[in-house]
Amino acid sequence: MTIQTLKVLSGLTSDLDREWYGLELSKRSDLKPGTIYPILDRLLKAGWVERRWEEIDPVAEGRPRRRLYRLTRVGAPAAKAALEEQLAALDQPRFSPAPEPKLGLA
Amino acid sequence: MTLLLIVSGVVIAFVLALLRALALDEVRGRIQRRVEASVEATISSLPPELQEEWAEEWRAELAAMKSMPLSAITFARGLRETAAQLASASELSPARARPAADRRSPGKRIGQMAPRLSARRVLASLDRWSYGFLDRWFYWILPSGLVLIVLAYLLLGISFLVAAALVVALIVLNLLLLDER
Repeated sequence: MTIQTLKVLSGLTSDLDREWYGLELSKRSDLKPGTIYPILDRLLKAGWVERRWEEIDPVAEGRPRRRLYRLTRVGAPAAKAALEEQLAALDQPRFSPAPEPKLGLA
Repeated sequence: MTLLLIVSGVVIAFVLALLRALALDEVRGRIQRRVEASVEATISSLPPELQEEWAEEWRAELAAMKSMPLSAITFARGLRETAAQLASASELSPARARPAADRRSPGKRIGQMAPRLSARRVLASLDRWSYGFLDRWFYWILPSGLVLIVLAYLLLGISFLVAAALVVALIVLNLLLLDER
């Protein structure tokens, strides 16, 4: 899993009850706007994320409808597990400490 | 006379402020049009099924950035990278793979490969030509737009200083003339 994907998952899990626009998610994930879509595409195909069009009247609102993204029931625990796994991997020492020299007693 | 000069100073300052606002709007409008053209070119470069999936969303996101020209530029550039990744992902995706029947007939397979190659070629050639061209326009517009804004602010500042200096000079002159009388 790439760092960018983890950033997106971190953004999505920051508020599980909330739905996000693509632009909001990219700001939340500290990624460049426009670069988030392949990540969302992969998460959609994996079933971790679902999306829907917002229900507004474009004429009344004066803007086109936008898409909203949120984690699915499968995706929410999976995302949390993936993030925790990465955090745990960061806590693990990369190299095992050298064994202490044994002092031979004559 | 003093009043006339004060009024003319105010009028000049107002005209300069108006010109500055018009220059800003002109720059923003140009940037917006370039960004929209870039996003539409990116959308056109995608295979039809991806256009159907993403076009409306990207246009809506861009519309939400009307008052943020720099974010819109970053968005348009990000979409260019995104489009190539999405197109290559769709070619590899099992959901969008050729039907099983086609795999049995080698002739159809060869025929099916041609559209996949052409999508890549279109993206690569657009990246070389259109986006390079638009890129140059972005790099030209941004600095020249910023230069215009800075010049407008300088002119405004200078005009205020000149108007203030004129007013002070006139007041001093009037006082001197009064003293002489």
